Amino acid sequence: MARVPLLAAALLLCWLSVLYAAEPSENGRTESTANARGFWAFRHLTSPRVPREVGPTDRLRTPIDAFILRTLVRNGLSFSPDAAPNQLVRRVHFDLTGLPPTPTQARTYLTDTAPDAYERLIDRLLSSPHFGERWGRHWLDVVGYTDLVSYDGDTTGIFGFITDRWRFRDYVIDGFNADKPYDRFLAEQLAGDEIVDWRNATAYTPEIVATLAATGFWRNAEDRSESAKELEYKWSFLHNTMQTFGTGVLGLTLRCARCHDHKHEPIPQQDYYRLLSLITPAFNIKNWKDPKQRAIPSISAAQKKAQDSANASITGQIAEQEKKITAVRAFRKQQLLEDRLKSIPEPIRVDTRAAVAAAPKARNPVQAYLAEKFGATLTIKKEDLEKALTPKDRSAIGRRQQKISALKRQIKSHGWIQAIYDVGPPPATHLLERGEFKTPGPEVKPGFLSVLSDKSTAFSSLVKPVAGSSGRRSALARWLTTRGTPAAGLAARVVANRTWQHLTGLGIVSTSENLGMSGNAPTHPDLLNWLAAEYVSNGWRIKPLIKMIMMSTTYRQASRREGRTPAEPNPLAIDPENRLLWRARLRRLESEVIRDAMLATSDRFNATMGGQPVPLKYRRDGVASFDTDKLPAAGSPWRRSVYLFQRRVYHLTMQGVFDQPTVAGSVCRRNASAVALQSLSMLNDGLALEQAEQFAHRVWHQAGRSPDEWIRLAFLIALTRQPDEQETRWSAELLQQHTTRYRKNGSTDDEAARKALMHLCRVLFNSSEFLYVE
Amino acid sequence: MECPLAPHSRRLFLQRSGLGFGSLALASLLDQDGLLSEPTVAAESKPRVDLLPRRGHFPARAKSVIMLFQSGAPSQMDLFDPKPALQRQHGKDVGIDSLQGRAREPLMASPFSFRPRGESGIEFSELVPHLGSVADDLCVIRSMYTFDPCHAGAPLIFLTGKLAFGRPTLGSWVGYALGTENQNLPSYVVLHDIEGHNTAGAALWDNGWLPALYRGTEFRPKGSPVLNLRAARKLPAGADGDDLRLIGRLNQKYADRFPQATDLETRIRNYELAARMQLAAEKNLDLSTETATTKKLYGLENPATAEYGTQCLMARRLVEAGVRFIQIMNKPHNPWDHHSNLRTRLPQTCLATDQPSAALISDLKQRGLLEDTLVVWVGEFGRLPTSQGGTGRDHNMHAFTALAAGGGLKHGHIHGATDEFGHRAEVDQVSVLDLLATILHQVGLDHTRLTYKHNNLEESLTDARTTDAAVVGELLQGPVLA
Repeated sequence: MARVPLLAAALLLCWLSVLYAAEPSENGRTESTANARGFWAFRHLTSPRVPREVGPTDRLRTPIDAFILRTLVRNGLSFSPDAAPNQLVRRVHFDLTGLPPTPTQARTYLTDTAPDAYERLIDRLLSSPHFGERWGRHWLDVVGYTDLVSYDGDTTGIFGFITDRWRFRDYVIDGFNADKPYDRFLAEQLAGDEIVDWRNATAYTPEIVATLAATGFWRNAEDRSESAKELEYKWSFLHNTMQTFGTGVLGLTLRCARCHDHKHEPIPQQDYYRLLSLITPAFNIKNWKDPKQRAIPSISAAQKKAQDSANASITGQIAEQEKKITAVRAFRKQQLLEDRLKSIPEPIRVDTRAAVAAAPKARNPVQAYLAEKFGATLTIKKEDLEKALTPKDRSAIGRRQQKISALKRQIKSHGWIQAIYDVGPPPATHLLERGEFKTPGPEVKPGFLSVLSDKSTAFSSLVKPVAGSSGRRSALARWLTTRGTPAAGLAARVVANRTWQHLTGLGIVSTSENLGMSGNAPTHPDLLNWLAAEYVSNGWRIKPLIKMIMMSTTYRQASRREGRTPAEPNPLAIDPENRLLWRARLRRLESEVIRDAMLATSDRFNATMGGQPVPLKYRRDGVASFDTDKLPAAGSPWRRSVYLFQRRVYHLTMQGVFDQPTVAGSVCRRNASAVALQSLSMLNDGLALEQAEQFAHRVWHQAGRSPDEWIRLAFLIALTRQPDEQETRWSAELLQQHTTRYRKNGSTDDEAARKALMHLCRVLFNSSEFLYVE
Repeated sequence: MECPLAPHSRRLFLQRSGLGFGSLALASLLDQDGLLSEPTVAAESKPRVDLLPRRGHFPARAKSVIMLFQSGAPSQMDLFDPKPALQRQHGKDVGIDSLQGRAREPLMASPFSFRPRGESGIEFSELVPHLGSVADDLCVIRSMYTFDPCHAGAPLIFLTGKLAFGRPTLGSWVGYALGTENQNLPSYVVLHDIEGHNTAGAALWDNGWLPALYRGTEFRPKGSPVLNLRAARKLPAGADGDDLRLIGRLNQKYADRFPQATDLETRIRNYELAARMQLAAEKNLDLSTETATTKKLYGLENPATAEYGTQCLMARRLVEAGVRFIQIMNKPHNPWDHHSNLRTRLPQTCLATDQPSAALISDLKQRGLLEDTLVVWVGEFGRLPTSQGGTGRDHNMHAFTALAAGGGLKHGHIHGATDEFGHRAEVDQVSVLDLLATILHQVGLDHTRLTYKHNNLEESLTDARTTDAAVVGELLQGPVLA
């Protein structure tokens, strides 16, 4: 039986801790827990003083720059100059919307001479709906979102009840667009079912539906329980869910503490089960709901009752109409039979009628003979009956059929919400000896990580049960978001660090999934604390945090350092990996962004937001493409990648080769490989060629009739810059070569020119520059 | 749980755990000379990003390596390492701890019988009759051990030298050091079924911080061997060439702007390779040209062996084509991971893999290729001699068996031994890192001199200064070269 590969480094660390840890000391744990409270990430979040007099002031635009420059100067480094405006507008567009700027958008910025032009660019894009799609995708990675719930080990089928998972995806995208404060955003995802009174609501508002859908947060781990009833699958779901929660929200590896006290983090095993007990009222091993049973109708119970009864009445009316149609036909049929019986000799007419009417097995020999002899004559074929219908019959049937169609249209259906909710009173949760469910240990009481708790944030102070629900998950949300507490400090640092990672290419803690003692040390701990503190004081809103980072000199630097004077130290010798940010990092775009950029470039981009995912088709050899038979609308293949059906392992081939990750839990960082399959796919994949053709179509229609104009526009659209003289010459050569070739092959001049243009567009998709943001 | 450690393993831990101080202190001690430790970052010079063939540190005994990676950990006591004491003491508790502190279980005798094979008389289990038939070509290393007993970590150690993501794999190091004989194919090919993913996934053929050109390229045993090898719609002859020329020009121009970004250089090489692969890959991997006898040898007609047989036959074809390093990842997920029902499930896995594995060795030999090809058949760790739940065996990092053939290794030879139950490697132990050092040695590389400067540190595959990894001279036909 195939399982999803587990990519989490956390698991490795777990084993390390088991195998290589120093011998545990008696009482070591309590002591180390106390010491651990002093660990930078576990401390109360206080805003550090912004460094002053750190170096040349001309480049200090924001406090962020003071922190970065201080470290640069200490290492004999300095900022690089600002990136060129066209590079910057491209970078900002990709970072905020995941799409390249259109020529018009680029021109708007490049010709804006007002001093706040850059700031207004950022503001414009922060309020674009594409912002939510871009940053929502980051969060969907963090929670390990998929459009399915069960395992994904096969190309042949998708298992289990997967209906309407997309509501969670849309909730996330909407949340980012609305800049929902993280404390609220998190509370809704952890315990939306305890925030809205859905059990008693007479009608669900869109808010109730969205808030319930938010709890889909807990539904991303592989849940096989619909088909696999063994306990181990339920437990494996719970442990995987804990892992995703730990990595994504706490930035800690909890998995080790499943089996024993965590050897690298101050997390005793008991803490793991205390945390686990917060979700066992919803995921109760003894009262388990499989995904189908757990789904909630997208309308309230009262609405459903009304809807069911209305539907029942409609169904009744339909049956009534159908009965009447049947009656008309039956009457004609009978008439036809009587007519035909007249051809049977009178003496045996009655017997024959009885013989034909009798069930074949019940016929006596005489009847069998009669049925055999006259059966064909007396069988009324469908077409005979239709012919026999009078015009009056037909119009009566037609009228009734119209009524039926009308009635059928009135039947209402509802969707589903893949939510969670307490399924009953909280069960006892036991510590599992060695992490094995077969060896339960002592019962544990609900609680949080002790290293991040004190009396004021004890479970008992934070829990407020609501009707029908234990309130445990709400308490968890409060623990994580009550300002001034260490837990909230950590939660804020995790978000601030990931935000930094998305905008600069690397987290301040480069292991953004692990800010604990076993994670990498932060390169700029003060800056991370400062960012996190600002984030919280701005009401946990991410847009101001993003804007703050983007306004900095640090962010705006060029990604290349040119023209170093001999006296200047070589930054490459001091910091070859550019960890300290003496220049911006050249970043390869993520798989989704690459595809979306192609669609935007070709102008075939379908901006429809939300709803059912776009279906994909999978071949046995693993190649995935669009399922053209099931596409809801013609333009669906050109919707943004975040709306494609999301599986764990089998991605759209074009995206798989560009490192779309296997979703086996929280994905906090993306890979950016450069393999030959990427080149081959960009050259030859049907999607790439189709888009190159569409791109050429766009250029053909938007530029004049001279090859130079085509070349200029194509570069501008694809790369946000003009080609230089050399590139223009090279491109013109290419157009000439292809035009000649196609003419020779019998194309007209116009056709040949258009086809040649397709090749230029193909080349631009295949340029490295198309895949990178400087 | 109890976790006794050899002293060097503890040092290994310091390295792996990312604590850093060990590596920092040691970095200054690392020598700068050696064929392959060209300064890569000190100046603004660029690391090498091409696949041109290069000489190693000393003459190579093997030109190519085929790694038949047996994900899931085959059970040594049931296949290659007969243990009479285990058979006699079935059901007895001899104090061998279970994994993860699970309750201790008694010894479980192998349900399978062994018999000596070939002139060498090496014993093989009845489950692997075909491998037994090439016994005289095999170097059987019975004293393997590793440092991690889980499916995510152990393969990473095996292929990257450390329990950490983000490091280059063996095949990447070999390609980086030696390039490849055939410029029309990648240096490092992974024959990997999409459903045959190992727990550590693509990290098992990753280039880590080596230039991305040296990452394993995935070829598929089903359908077209390389995805998107041909344009999805017909383009006129010669059109690709013109496009590729301009792509190359633009990408070179862009790469010149970022001299440190080796992935930009890699992309240029990838396009060159892509063009050549169009010609080479299908030709080199067109198995329809094989004779019926060959197809039968690999079991292509039999559904049970067809898939693994295809992978093995493709490996031979790639060796013939001059590919440097071929790594087979078989399916399904961790096929050797027999925690339960070993008696019925182990034979199934053997059925799928035994004949093709042996076919590869005898076919290479028959074609005179085995001398120049090192074939390694090995899982990530072994299994315990005790039972798990009465019907299976749990993981065991202390002992397992590796098979090797060709490439200048001894043949018809048994190296090392485990204790009386097969629980621990006892005599002439070989760590996975020692095996890595030995494989590098056979392709002409000194594992202590094959280094790469990464973030101002000299990195190597085996990190021998802290791990004490060493070439296992007893496995070689010839002397250990330096």
